[in-house]
Amino acid sequence: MNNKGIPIPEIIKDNIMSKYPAKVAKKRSKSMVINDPVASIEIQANVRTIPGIITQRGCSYAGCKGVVLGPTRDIVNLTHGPIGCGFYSWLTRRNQTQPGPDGENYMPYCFSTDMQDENIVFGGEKKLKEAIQEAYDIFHPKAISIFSTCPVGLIGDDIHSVAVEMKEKFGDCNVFGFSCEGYKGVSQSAGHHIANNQLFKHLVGNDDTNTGGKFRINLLGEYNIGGDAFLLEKMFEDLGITLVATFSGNSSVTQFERSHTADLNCIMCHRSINYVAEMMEEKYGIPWLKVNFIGAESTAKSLRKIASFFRDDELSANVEKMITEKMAIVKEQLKEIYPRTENKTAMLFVGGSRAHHYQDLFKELGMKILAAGYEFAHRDDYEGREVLPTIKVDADSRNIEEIKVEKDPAKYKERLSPEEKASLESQGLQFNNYDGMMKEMDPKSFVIDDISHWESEELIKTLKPDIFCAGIKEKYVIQKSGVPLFQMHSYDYGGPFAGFEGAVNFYKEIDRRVNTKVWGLMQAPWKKEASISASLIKAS
Amino acid sequence: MIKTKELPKEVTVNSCNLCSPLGASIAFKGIKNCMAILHGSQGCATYIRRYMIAHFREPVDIASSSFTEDTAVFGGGEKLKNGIDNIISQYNPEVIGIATSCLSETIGDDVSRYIQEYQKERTAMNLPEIILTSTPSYNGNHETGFFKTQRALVEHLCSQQEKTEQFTAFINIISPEDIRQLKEIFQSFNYSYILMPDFSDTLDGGSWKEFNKIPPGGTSVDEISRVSSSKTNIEFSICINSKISPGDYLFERFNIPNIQLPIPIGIKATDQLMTALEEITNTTIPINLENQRRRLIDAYSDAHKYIFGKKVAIIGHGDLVYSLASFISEVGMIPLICSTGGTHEKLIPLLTQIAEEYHYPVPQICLDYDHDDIESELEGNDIDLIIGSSKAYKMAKKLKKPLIRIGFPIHDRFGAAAKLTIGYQGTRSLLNEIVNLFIQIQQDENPVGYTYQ
Repeated sequence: MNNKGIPIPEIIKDNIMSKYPAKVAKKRSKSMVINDPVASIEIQANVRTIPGIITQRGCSYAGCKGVVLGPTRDIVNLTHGPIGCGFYSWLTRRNQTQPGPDGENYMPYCFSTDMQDENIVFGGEKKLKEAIQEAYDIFHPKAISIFSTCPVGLIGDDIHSVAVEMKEKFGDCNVFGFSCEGYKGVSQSAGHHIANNQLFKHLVGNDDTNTGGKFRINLLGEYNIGGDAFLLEKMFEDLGITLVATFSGNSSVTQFERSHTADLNCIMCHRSINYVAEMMEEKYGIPWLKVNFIGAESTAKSLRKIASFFRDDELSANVEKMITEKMAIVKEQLKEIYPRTENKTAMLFVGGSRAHHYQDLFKELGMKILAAGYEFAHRDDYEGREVLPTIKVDADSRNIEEIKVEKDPAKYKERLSPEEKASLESQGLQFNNYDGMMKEMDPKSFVIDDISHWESEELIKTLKPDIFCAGIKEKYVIQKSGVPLFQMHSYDYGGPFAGFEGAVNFYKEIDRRVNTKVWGLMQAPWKKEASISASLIKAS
Repeated sequence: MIKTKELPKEVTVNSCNLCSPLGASIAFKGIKNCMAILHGSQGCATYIRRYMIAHFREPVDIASSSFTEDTAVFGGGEKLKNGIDNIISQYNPEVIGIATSCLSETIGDDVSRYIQEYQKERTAMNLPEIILTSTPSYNGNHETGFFKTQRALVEHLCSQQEKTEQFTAFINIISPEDIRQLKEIFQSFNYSYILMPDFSDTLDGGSWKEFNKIPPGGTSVDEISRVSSSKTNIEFSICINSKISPGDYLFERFNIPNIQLPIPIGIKATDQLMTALEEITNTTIPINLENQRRRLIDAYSDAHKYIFGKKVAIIGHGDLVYSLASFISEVGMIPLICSTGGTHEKLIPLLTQIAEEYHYPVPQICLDYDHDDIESELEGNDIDLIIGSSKAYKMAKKLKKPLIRIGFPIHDRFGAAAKLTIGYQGTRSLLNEIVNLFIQIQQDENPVGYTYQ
């Protein structure tokens, strides 16, 4: 303890590491750092999880099928494999979608080839072809995508040639595959990359229709959990900004196919989608900006970024007008809640961007972030993209395809001249940049990658946060210890939390969580009485 | 009318089956001081944890040997051994349950050999019991994994012993509250028993004063090792394949009679249990249980007017479908469609027999069906109620039919762990739920806007 009674972070860390076998401690120690926002501290991330250590992480298939492709409503997502994987990714993430009255929507469905013994022994390509044919015959979808599970890669089923064959056969249905076997990479992050590659190869740029609008953007890395995308869509509409495509919350095949006609890519979740943005810039000349619509202040900041990109007085005026109006409402609501949340503490261990973005909302509530970390992020998400050249490519990253992208001679269009870009940069607009989480966190706070159960238990015991944010896998274990856990993947079935209205929803939600009286009931009254009576008996 | 998939369909749409390692994971959760490790990609452990945690709303730690691409090529021996080491150092369990996955099974990983090597390499350590169950997802479903694991446990831990006045009960996939109900029934007979796998506390516990790495509760290694001294076994499955049945194994090896009973939902199925218990314990049914039965009969007659003739579609795993169909028939409702993702042909004569007994046409018995097939069947039928898991919600919403959630997973309703459906008491609670649902519908649909009874 230091003289203020706060446990010293270095001692907490030593205690945690001391319980690991030496080899494990050596490895984990590099993934648990005590922050210094000014000095650039290196954190170990995107490395293999140690077998037997309970992790938050999922697999490549989960990242590809569940996260990136899952929220698109009109693709028939067919899992090629035994039944488990398909079943567990069926309605498991809380993506919402609005297909309209007659729109196609396959999200409540789980399509699987449900492979049996004989398919493993003799191969599953025939079954796969027939399954694709049946799905086509029943639904006549615009697109069918195939996701490989672990055994498929091992028995050598060639899903990509099956896809080509079926696509040619149908003529009016795009068929493509994802080699996202669960053993690829170290986490779901590998699956994001695989998904990005195939979306780019098979969908982006297929349809040149320009639906008009002066300010045309794509929103990347927004997955419409709890209806976030609905709020953001409305916000852009109110501002006269045309949202061409969202990758991939509330999205459709057509949106992806036309996404190359936008003039700016705005990235929310950098980890899961930056590859598409990079490739679109290369091929079509669309620049990208990092934005964050989680938090009222961050929303205002991100809108200003977009407005300054388009250099249009009317748009800037509209943005400022909206910020003024909305912030007045937000502040009014916050005023009432703030005294109850001020100085409370939080920890966030989730995802590849949420652990960073949600810090802004907690700060608006006057709360302090004691510790944060990602499940599946890379060093650039912690330390900023400037470390990209120094990241070693290991075997687990090498086996994920890097697509070579070249300028499209017909469709490439320069959105900004070098002079215009330089001028915007001189005004503070940073293209292709993400500063990462650590620079915005307090000195001496903990930054931990791929936190294990043991580490979170110890942090809770020693730092006693008022709220812990993670996922459902951590929820009940943390709550057994009397600390409320807020699920950041599913928003604990609340939300939306994006934009100005979302921020207010979040303030109310967190107020309820950190000020609930339920934990006070944990101790039964007779427990106390029992000890009194016991001592009385002893005394007599 | 009996239906298996009429045209062999290659695409499964909204399956009724979960995978075998999930069943194994639930079973291992019922063993005291046990940690399970899934030998495969970490996604398997993560997905299965996610499904179990959302259903039980309890912590569920399951480790993984975290395969990477090179593991898939060269085998998972080292990863598994590492994983076991790390589980021991963190959890210090008495039992480590290893369930294989489709990945390790496809590459033909020789896990038994790894375990032998591990035990040889670490003779100095006081090692936990290591139980291996082979659960590739491409063979069978969650029921398979659940029973295979029970069988692996007794195969590994039981040896020849003197018989004692005691019986063993191998349960089916029921709720923690159901397990507690079953234990209460057994205790009423005042006779020694072993129930396995007992996840009534491990998957439905209280808050913790001290942090528990492994939640308290479960059937202990000592108890399981004494299973072979039981005079009789009760196995709550009538659909089970003898090859994976723990009771049949114990009969073959130790000559312990195996009584296979349905999951005790409804009067008849519970009566069968009581009769078996009377025989085993050589006593008569205790008065408290007899009173429960009388009250249940009373409730049946009171409920009759609300639910008589209502037509029901039942979706679940084989044993659950049979017991629900039996109960539904008893209360005067008609099981019009009985469907399961499994391929239990035993269900056909059993369900036919119920129909004949209650004088209604034999229901459509749908084996190896997925939810989409069932939805198509329902479209042409005038159904009043669907009973199934949360995964039947899509069809219930589309067809505008009420859904009572029983089975696994229940993710869109609160209290899956506390759901009571077995014994006379549980049947009554299920009956109440069904009757109240129809009263509610009647009230909602009443043109006058108000009805009281």
